[in-house]
Order: sequence, then C-alpha cells, then structure tokens
Amino acid sequence: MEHRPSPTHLQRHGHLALPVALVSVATVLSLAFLGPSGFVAGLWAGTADFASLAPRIMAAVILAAVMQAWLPREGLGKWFGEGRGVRGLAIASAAGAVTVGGPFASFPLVAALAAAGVEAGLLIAFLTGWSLIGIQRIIIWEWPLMGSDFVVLRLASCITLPVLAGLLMRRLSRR
Amino acid sequence: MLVDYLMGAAACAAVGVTAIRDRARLRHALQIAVSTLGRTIPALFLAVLAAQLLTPLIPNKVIGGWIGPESGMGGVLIASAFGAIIPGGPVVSFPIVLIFQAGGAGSPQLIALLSAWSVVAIHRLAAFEVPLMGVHFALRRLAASLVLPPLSGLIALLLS
Repeated sequence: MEHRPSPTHLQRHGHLALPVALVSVATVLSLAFLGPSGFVAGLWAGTADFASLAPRIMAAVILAAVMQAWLPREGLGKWFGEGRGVRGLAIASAAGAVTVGGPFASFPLVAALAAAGVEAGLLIAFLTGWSLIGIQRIIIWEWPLMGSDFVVLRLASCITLPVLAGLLMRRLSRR
Repeated sequence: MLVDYLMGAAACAAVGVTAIRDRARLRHALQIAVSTLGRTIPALFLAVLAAQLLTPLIPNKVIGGWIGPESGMGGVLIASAFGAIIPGGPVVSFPIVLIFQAGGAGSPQLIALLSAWSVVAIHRLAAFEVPLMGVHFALRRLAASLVLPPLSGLIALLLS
C-alpha cells in the first residue's frame, strides 16, 4: 500500500519542521568548518547532553501533565472581574502564567475576553504572564535545559513585570 | 541539584495525590504526558543537538565581549534587541540561548534575551496578535512591553 502523509500526520509533526531545518543547517556548517570528525564529536556531545537531561525531562513532563489535568479548562474569564487595582492585574498575570498551550490556546481566549469588554490592562497582564512566566515552558524547557539557578534568577527578575506592563497599558489607554 | 530532587518529588507527589483523589483524572494526565513526551522529546533532542553542533563554530570572544557577564547594562540592551528578532517557539530560542551560554554569555544578558523573545515574539505578533486583536492593540501592547526586557536584565544584574 502506498504511504501518503495525512493532514493529521502533518499536524502532528509540523512543529518539528523548524528544529529539523535548524539541525540541517548546523550539520552543513559543522561538516564544512570542522569536517566529519568534528561533526561526529558534536553528534556525540548532543546525544550525551540529551541523555543527561532525560530524568529532568521525564519529571517535567509528568508534573506538567498532572498540573494540566487539574487546571480548569474554562472559567478563567471569571478571574477577570477582580476590579481595577493592582490586585486585578496580579490575578490576571497569574492566570496567564498557568494557562497551558501555545498561542492557539491563549489568543482566542484573549480575543473573547476583549470582546466581552475586559479592560486592556488586564489583557496585557494576562498575555505577559503567559508569555514571560508561562509555567509550562519553564517546566518543560527552561528547567531541564538551563538548570534551576538560572530559572530562579529569571523568575525573580521577571515576576513583577506582567503587572508593570498592565499598569503601563492603563497609562497608554487613558490618553 | 536540590531543585532537581524537589521537582522529582513534586512529580511523584502529584501522581500519588491524583491517583488517590481521582483515578479518571490520572488517566487523563497520563494521556497528556504521553502526547507531550511524543511532541517534546524530538524537539528537545533536536534543540540540544543543534546547540552542540553549532557551539564549536561560534567564537567565544565575540559572544563574551558583546553579552558576557562583564558587558553590564550595554550587554543587556544588545541581548534585548537580539531577542526581539528571534522568530519561532522554544525550539528556536533555547538552542540559541544554549549556544550563547556555552560561548560565555552572562545570565542577566540571557534573561533579557529570553524576555525580549517572550514578550515581543514577532512570529506570534504576525500570526496571531494582529489578525485576532487588531493593529492598534498590538502596537499598544508592544509599547507597554518594550521596557520589560531591559528591566528584567537590570533586575537580574542587581540580584546576581
């Protein structure tokens, strides 16, 4: 039987197009500048590096999955009725940080909230919380690859910024 | 290292509590875990591989000089500007960060780079934000967000 990639097949593996291209470019550059021995050394280094990360990745994926299974899928909208103060911005930021999934998940939600009349400062706080301190990306990418010291320093540096972005947005909107 | 053990313990505890409280939810979580593993393992492997292949090609002096630990606020600003033009998801940004880290970049500078990539995200701006939220909203959000990457780097400089 002839094998033809179905749309679902493409959807499942489409996200790998960019990393495959990146590795292809890296392979060509490595072979061109370092030769076959340099390329093989890089291949081994990458594999060893990945193997050493495997336990962290497993723990990260399990933790993220259980978190995702417990978090409410809908109903984030009710978190946005919390008034106009800094408290409302902090809650919106936290809601953004725990929202899992890529822009496919977050932007339709933000568009719906905007249509429902939710104020721009809260929307910015939510979006910035999601993009800057999204827990899922921290657990699955940042912690395994960068280590905990880096994660702690970055969180400490960024944790207040979504609220600040919301405040700035309110300033901009008032004009 | 301590955090690694804590994360492992947290994962075990989360599975344990879910198993006791709600079996159906545990099954759901395992399904999510399997599909996440299927998506993430190849992406993480390719990201690490690209970083390891490219690291020997990048001259350390260049990266260390521009965004090294000694580069201070100037390095933070350079890293912020560079982060803002990285398109794509974590499969693109994290290999770059790994290469820069191996090349001698400082943590505050890398934090500014990741912040700029997160909040500016030109790919997301073009593909989602402008079509769904409109140009006006997107521009106002950018204006409110541009100060955040240098600020995150500055705070990291002060903390470290």
